[in-house]
Amino acid sequence: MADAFVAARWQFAFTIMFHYLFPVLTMGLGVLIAVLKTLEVRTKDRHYGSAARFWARIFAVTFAAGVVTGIPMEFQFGTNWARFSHFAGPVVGQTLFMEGVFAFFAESSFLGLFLFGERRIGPFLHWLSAVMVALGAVLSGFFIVATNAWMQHPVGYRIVEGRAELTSLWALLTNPYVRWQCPHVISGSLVVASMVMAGIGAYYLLARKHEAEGRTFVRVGVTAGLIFSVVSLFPTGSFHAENVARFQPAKMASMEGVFETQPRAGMAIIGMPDSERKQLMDPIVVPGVLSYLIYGDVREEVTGLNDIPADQHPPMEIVYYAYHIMVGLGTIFIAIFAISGLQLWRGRLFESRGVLWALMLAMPFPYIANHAGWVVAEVGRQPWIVYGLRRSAEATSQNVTAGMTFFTLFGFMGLYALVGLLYLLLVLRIVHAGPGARPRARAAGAPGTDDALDGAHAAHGKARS
Amino acid sequence: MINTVWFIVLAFMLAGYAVLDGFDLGVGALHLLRRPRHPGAREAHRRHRAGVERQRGLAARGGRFDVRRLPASLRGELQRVLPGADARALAPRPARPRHRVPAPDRPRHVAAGVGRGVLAVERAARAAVRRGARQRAARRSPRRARGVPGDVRPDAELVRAAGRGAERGHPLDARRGVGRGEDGRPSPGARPALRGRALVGGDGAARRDDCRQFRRAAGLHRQLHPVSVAARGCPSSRQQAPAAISVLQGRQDDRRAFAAGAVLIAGVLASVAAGLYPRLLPAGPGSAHPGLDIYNAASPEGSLRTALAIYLWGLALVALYQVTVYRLWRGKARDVYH
Repeated sequence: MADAFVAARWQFAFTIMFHYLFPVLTMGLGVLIAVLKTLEVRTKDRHYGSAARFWARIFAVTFAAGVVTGIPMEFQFGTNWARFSHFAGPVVGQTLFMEGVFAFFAESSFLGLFLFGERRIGPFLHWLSAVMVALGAVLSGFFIVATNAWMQHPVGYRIVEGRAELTSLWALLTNPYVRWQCPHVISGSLVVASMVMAGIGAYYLLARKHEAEGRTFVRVGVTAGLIFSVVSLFPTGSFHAENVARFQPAKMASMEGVFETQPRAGMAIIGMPDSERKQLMDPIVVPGVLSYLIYGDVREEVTGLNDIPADQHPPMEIVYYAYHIMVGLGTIFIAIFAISGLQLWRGRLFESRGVLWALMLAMPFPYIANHAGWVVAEVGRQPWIVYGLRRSAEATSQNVTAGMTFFTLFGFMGLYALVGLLYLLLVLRIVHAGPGARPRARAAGAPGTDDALDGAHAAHGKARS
Repeated sequence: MINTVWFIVLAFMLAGYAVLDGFDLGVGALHLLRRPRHPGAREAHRRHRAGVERQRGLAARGGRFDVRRLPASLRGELQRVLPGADARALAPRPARPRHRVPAPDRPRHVAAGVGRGVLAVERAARAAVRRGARQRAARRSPRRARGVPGDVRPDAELVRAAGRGAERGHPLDARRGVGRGEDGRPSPGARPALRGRALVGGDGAARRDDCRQFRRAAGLHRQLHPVSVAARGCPSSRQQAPAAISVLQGRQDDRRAFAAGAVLIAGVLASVAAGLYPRLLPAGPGSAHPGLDIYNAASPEGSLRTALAIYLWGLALVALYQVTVYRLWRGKARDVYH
């Protein structure tokens, strides 16, 4: 049974981490596309329109890959985690259902309109469709995070015959845990989108092609990136950390490597946690900072792992390192965007090749930071699947063996590798074609377009007559 | 009560999904088989697939149910293939005049090939039944096997009659008014012999055997025939919807023909759901588990009520999105292939 449990965990971890590569970009990119469209409407600058079209193509490919890779996860709730579904389905099913009908439909309906309707529905409606796509993407993120927040801090339920039953939808949607978790996730997503936008813009500037659009990308990306990398730290990150300390002290102690309950708890900048000896080895600690950040008072006491029953400890090393990777990378992003913003303000960014190189090479790192954040959230909640109510080991399906799960896991790995490769090829193709060159299908009179085919038909009719 | 409501909601959503997604998938799949009409357009199509794909997206996504905006030949195939119309409709039909369709109409040919394939399988199965019937009859009655002067070929006639009966959805013995008792109701014991006599005549043992084969052939015909499959589940649509498709296609009323096809597929799914009710996933024979039904698989009642309220609001919102998108696209998805 333990093996099946481990296999189910591996499968879910792999599928969700691969899947999250796509929505983490679309949630932020939808907002940035809406910003570009707004700038186009306000300034009448065609470069913003061409930039919005370019990023809409990348958004569409990413959205499709996200849908394809997300479907197996829902199946896993039924196949591998049947006891979890039986227990928590009456509650988490509500938010997942709302994500489908309220968010996903809006996103997909208006994405079609946005992609294909620029010349058909007028500028205002096209702008509105961009806003609806952004709203749908963010709402989708909210409902998913609300689902996760209930697992982190269950509210608005009662237990009926061994199952959780929803008693208040409002409580579920306004869970105190989701209030800062959701903004933190969305701001992290915006950092990803900003870095990707600025990075591709930097590539165009370094390669000296599509430079006008490249400047637009860098300008918008750096500005948004600076804002949201700071927002990720404060207020969203800071207040979310308060919630974690309040509702899940074991997770907070693991994140910071705190073993002893102590006032004036320090923040470990670096160190190696040893859960066997129950100490943080060779740490560099800033005294009192952790107490202050969590409670606003250095004299407050922070609970250590030694005062929490051992059977409720999460895997401490994973949580500690993932948290420090997230925070470290977040600090680096703030530095990169601050330097870039300063150069942009001074009007020297587009000629600063070193900064442009840094922006381009930093593109993968926001993905790593976001994934590390989710590792902290999910591994830090262990051994619970619904915090305080149901342990993860009691949530798997009883008639699914490890062999069955590994079989499908390897299948998913192969399939996802194919999807990932295809996605990369498509995105590279779009980037290679560039934003400046209008798509062939859109060029007036180009073969394959309405005009060209109309012309061909007209010529055919003339020849016949 | 709330469990039943949710069962209906799920059936409705499944039927909606099949029709809507079927439309998109069908347009996407059939589009690839189609060629433009004029050489110039064909060249443009070949050289610039991207533009064509965009137009396909427009037609499929934006012009949902706007069947009139689709290329004419695609419309016909869509109605035949997608809504599960009569497989016979896929069979070759009288070709259009050459001056109207100068270029090869590949989907029509492909669909016709599929139709021929279905019919060929059906014919092969019938032939297998006939061979088996002959062999068994030969074992029982040498006279019957040798053939009797003046006797019709019973198997072929029986199978054809069975096919006609299955298509029409009539009870086989009611067609000829035989096999009925004094009260006019069918007499189960008398039916095979009477029907055999009426159709074949001759030796009693052979007649009985033929009547058994008649029934088997009729059953096989039902199993093979898609409309018959649908008909068994959805009595109201088994005659009306396929007939409506054919009639409306004949009248060039593509929108109503498509609607009839959609009604057929939705009706079939609804009948499947009705057949399952209240089960969701029946347990296999001998299983210790009772299987899933709308009671043991459902959430507690409070959660179901909350979800129903969400669903109704969500459905209204989704309908609003779809109507908005439809209205925005209406008449704007251009028919570039034509």
